[in-house]
Amino acid sequence: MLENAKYFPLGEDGILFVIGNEISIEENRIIWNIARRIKDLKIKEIKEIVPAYSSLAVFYKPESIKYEQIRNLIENIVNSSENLDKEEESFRKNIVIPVCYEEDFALDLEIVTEICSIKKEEFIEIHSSKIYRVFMLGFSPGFPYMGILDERIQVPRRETPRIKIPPGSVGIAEKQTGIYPVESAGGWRIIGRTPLKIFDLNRENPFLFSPGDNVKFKPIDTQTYSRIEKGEKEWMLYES
Amino acid sequence: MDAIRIIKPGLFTTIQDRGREGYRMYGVPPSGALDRFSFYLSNHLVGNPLNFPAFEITLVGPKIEFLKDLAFAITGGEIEIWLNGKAVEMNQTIFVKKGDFIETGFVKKGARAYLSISGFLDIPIVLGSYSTYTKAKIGGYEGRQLREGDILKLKEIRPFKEKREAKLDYQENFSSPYEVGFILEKDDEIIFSEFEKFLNETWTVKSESDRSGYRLKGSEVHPFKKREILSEPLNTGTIQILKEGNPVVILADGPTVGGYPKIGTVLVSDLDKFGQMKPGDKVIFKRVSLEEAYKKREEYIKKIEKISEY
Repeated sequence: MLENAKYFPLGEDGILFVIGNEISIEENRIIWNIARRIKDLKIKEIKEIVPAYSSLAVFYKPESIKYEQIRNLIENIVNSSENLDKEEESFRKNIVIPVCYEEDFALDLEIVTEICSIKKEEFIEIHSSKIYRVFMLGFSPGFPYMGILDERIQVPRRETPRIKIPPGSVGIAEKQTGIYPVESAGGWRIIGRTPLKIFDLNRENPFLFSPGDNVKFKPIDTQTYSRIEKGEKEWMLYES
Repeated sequence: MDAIRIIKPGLFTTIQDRGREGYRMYGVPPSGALDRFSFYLSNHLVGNPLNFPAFEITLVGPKIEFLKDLAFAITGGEIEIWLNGKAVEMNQTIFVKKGDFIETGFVKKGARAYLSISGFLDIPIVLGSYSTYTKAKIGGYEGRQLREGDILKLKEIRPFKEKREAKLDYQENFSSPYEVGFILEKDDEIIFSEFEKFLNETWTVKSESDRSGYRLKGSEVHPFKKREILSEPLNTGTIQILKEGNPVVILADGPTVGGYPKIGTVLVSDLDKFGQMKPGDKVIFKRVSLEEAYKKREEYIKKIEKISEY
């Protein structure tokens, strides 16, 4: 897949590196590994690196480095690195997110089960049994684009977006699942809610997720939801 | 200490600086003043370092009471200012005493004006910047636009006694049609005839335009075979083509990744123009090479450096 790698300017201070156009865990792994290797070089002329599904943007300072140099840098990393498609197990943790799939929170679950012709319990079992990868963050602060969703529960987006989605709402759309960190409009189908704060400025690291994280959902009831939300129950975020 | 009280907030007034950097990969856009040049100029006129947080005024300006002796200045789109009922000019340092008030009108030429006061606003820094990102309710004053009754404090007053004036013609450019340069992105997939159509069209700014992006209407163009792509990173100024064939220009509060095909990205030196465009204004896009873009960027930086001469 690296043979098809392409480079494009993303304005005068960015470069876009693209290796694919379909959601793929393997391609995302490569992107993330390249991103980390660029980061590890600690080049001061690079302002930030933004990984996406199968592409990557590097934002640089045109005053001190030019497009061709950044392109050469990425090409060198791509050509000289081994195991770009291998996962680095050591720093990968499974993040466990409590989700309540009950009526009050699962705003679109009924329609989703109809579309998929499955029962609610089946849906919950399928959605919560897989380990998902965080492909990238975007749309709103800390919003994780995760996948790949089991075929049996893939549904299209809503025809018209919902105007106000409560924070913590868990959504699905085709191959993806995600969690809305702040109240916003959105077109994904809402199938549950987590009492955890996905984005919290009062936390040392405000962002619960980073690209490349592994995530699993754990069903909880409304009582547990309430207790976690109020701070009465602590939640173990990482699977030991 | 209490510095100003908002009597009337205006249509949409937020605190902005030049924006936050380093958080795109977490889905946090840069935010910051849409018309950077005017923003920097307003700070200079009150003796502040150029990147102090200031007020971005949109279309209709505020009425403000000063709770301390201060200096203030307003730059950007042309707006009338009355100090205690008497008309005063933009683009200069104006000294006020505790109890003075200013009223401002409509932005008659352009769309946004910038108001700075001599001193550093007492607001928390959020992810490296004081800019407001209203969508996530972060930054600026409580993460929102200013409201009647809000009281803004200063961390410290900077006693500024010098009278500065900017006799510039920069406001002459705040008029339609706007010519905007951009750098082409995916040159290998683009359908040339549709690309020509995009360049030849005089696009019209829609009223649904805001700090997240400016939506344009005109002929339908489809410069790429696919009308949706796997989400890729965007830059400020990236021009996306939506499904119905009309462009949207991503701006400071806009999304950091997107699944619509992109034609290219607007030059940083032309982004300020979007800060001054109003619904109904016309925009024409001009393709620019990377080399030309670097040159224009250098010129723009020099233009900002020259601000300190006024």
